Amino acid sequence: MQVYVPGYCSFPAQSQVTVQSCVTPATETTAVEATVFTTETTFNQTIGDSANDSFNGSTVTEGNAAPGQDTCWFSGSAGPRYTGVTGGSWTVAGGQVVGQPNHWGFDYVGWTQTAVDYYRVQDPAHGIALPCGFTGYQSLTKSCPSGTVTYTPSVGNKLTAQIEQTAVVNCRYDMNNSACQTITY
Amino acid sequence: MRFLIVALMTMFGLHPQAQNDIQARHSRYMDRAEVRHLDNSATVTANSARPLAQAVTALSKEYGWAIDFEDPPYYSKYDLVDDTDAKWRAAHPREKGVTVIAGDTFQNQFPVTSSAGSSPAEEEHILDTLVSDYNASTNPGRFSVINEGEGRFAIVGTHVKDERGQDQAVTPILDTPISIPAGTRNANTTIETILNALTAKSHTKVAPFTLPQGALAQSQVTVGGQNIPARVLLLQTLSATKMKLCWHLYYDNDVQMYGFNLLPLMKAKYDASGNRTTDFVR
Repeated sequence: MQVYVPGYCSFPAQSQVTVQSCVTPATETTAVEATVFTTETTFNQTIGDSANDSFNGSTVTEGNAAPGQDTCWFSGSAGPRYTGVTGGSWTVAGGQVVGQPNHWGFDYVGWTQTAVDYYRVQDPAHGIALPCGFTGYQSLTKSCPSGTVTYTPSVGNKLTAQIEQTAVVNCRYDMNNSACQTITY
Repeated sequence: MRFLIVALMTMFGLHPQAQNDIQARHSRYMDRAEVRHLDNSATVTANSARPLAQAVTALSKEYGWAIDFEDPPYYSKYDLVDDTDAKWRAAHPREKGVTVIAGDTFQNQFPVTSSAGSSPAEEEHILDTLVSDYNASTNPGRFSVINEGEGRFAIVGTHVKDERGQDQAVTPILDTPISIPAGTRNANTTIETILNALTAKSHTKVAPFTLPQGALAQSQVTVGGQNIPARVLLLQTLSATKMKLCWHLYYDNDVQMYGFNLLPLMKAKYDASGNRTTDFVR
């Protein structure tokens, strides 16, 4: 028999069992960190729960909650159609956010400079109007002793990157807030 | 009246038959290639400007195979078709317009066993069959399969049509020997360094188009040397990253540029009801 506790990993309901509970984040907020590679944005996330638990050292891994959409792509383009996030993983309070408790990141959102330059010129001639962009639906899981637990809503976090005539707009819509960066380019 | 409309459209580059051809071609394109499983075989059906790349992508996602793909540098009217939007043409009557690779439908059937997902020998045989059949089709380009080792393969363009419609052999651009300083860099910088050196040596722009920047930023890579094929340096770089990735190098003759695209490796999963999902190969 398995007992499932909402927000926790499953564990056997037996007497004298050492319970390896797995606390999952109840909240996640996002903030713009910086502009990188001219047209892309890094986002820095903070996770938490009502008990102020520490998630430091655990792994956050992204997946696709739903297929992505791409309104810039055309068949024969120099790039593939965007179909979703790339499956990255991050160590909480590690890597690029080392020393920042309960932070993970950076999450990179945006088109490369090459793609922006290319689609701005090529899309209109191929009959695709600007602005155009991609939308991804990012699910996030946290590592637990008995596996992983998804802590984002079933629809995922929406990630968007829009190419306009003189700017690009990169957004991350998180569980508890959203952040956008408009880069004049 | 009908004659007048046709004459005016033709004068502004809006030849009705050409626009009909473009619309018909677009309507035939598939969003993605389909893989169908039969008793002891499978079929892959593609229809796009790059039908072989579309078929390869579908097989890669079906079986979790790492397959790199590289366009040859198409340039002739035998490999390219006009893809200029009618309204854009009317607004830009003196400009050249745009093209796409003249790919259309491609279907391939291949024998398959239950170990297809895990046997590099079977994968190589299937890819050889796929490419051989593609090369016998009327679709643009001729390709060959390169065994890159450790279960990884590349399908590279080896021939295009010249302006007389004859096959012209081309050297795959990633075979170009390049030199980059030996050193430890993050994977983003390493790839940028390789592509810059390749652009300088080949005199063809090769630019990063789609990259998993976050994963690359987290990976430190030590590569470099003199006169090493770009392909070897890229393989060394990817082997040091935290994700399983494959590249697709797509050429656009209108801008005379290769877009370098790094894509995560994915594999299909089927539940008891036969419902299909794909997940990352980690």
